[in-house]
Amino acid sequence: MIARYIILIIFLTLPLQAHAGKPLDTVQVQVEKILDILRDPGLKAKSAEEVKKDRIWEIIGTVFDYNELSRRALGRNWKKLDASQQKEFTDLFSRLLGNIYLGRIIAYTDEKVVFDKEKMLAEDKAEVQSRIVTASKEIPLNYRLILKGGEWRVYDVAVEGISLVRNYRTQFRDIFKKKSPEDLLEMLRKKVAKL
Amino acid sequence: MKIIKSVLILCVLGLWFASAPCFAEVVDSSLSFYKLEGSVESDVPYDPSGGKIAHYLALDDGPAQRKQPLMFAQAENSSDTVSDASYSEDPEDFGAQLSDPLEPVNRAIFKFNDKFYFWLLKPIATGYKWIFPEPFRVAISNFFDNVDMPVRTVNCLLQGKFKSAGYEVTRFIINSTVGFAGFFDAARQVEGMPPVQREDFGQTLAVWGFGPGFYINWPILQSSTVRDTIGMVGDIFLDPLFFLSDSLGTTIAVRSVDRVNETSLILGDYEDLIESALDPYVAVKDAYFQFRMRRIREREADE
Repeated sequence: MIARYIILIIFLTLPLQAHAGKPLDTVQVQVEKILDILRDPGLKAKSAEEVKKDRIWEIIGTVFDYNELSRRALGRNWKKLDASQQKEFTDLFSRLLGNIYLGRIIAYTDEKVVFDKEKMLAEDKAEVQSRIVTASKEIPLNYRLILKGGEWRVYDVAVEGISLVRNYRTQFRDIFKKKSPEDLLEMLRKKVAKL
Repeated sequence: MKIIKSVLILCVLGLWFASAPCFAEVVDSSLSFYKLEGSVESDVPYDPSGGKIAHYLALDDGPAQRKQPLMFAQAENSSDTVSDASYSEDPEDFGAQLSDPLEPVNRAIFKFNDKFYFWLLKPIATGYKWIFPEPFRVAISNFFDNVDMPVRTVNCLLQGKFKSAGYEVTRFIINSTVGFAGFFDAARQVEGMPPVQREDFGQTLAVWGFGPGFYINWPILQSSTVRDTIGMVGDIFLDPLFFLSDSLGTTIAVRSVDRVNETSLILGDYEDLIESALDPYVAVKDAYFQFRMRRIREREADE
């Protein structure tokens, strides 16, 4: 039995050695920066709430590829929007998605975040797999990244296998069956105003 | 009694398979590890009908989806080795969608379930959370997980995941003894021990080639599909509580405690999803579909 576990451990660590590389490092470094800000005792006070949020938003802005994830969330319907609508959509949607991500990370501030491995999906695409380890369970949190101009940027986040971009894509698709791009933007404006 | 006996036999079989010679396993694992990197077939579950049954059962909803009749079908021209039909790498593609011919009824039930959550389940779970500290609630959750071992083990075996079944049995033995009748997940401390293998009959049917059919939103029981409903009924016959309790009422009562306890551990998750959605009904439906697809795609425990 012991031999089996030793072998298991070897195989569990193998992927880590074989694939230590950029996408994982990119995400890990930035996520740890966010967690450091959240855990900073100097920023625990209520008055520091805004400072904290601003700093985290700045980091999220460097990690996420807002254009890519907005375009993907609309899929084929992206072309139904004119240039200015596309711009507004990108703006609203990234604020919505960023907030959800922020909410998730804040909820898990006191939990352990483990980065497991990265998987190359294509030449310029990768998936970074991480886990949030709580007292009762482990929540898989995966990031999808795209290589643009030599930098890896996140274009989707999947919590427990549920891709946020795909979840919105399904909703937008349904909305487009009956509504216009302007209606969609109006719905988003209302949603973002409530954040 | 007969069923319990056959479950035990299956468990022993699982253990036997799991403890296959070390050497063979090393060769096997190292080979499959490298194979998985470049191969796409390895992720696609075995479908004895060659996709025909699944194609027949999957009611897709548009020409864009017709190329992917099966819920775990490959996206064409996809460079994605993770082979995930729910998530096409093509930004133009919507990916496989769950059809919903009962949408008006489902939406009505969604409203009912929403009220059920906010008016009944959430207040009860909140009170329960206030009374019992987290370690206690985690222990209860562990206990139910341990009790449900036969359901997971048999489904691992039915899917040909013999190693996973072996791990389930090993976990059960460790947790029932060292873990004080399952209240502590002692097995989690063992190096290399994978987490609980959440296999059920709905997933088994999927591995056998059954498509999801269509979405069904059950009152109280919530999101399901035709296939997962059949799976849910099938799993009742593997549920030890069903055999040990004297009446259906007792089973429901015990399961209600389970439900309240589980809810107390994830309060806020549902609210988050609802609040961030533009159409909460579609968001929940898609989340369920994606969640189930991920479960179905999961490979053996240690691969």
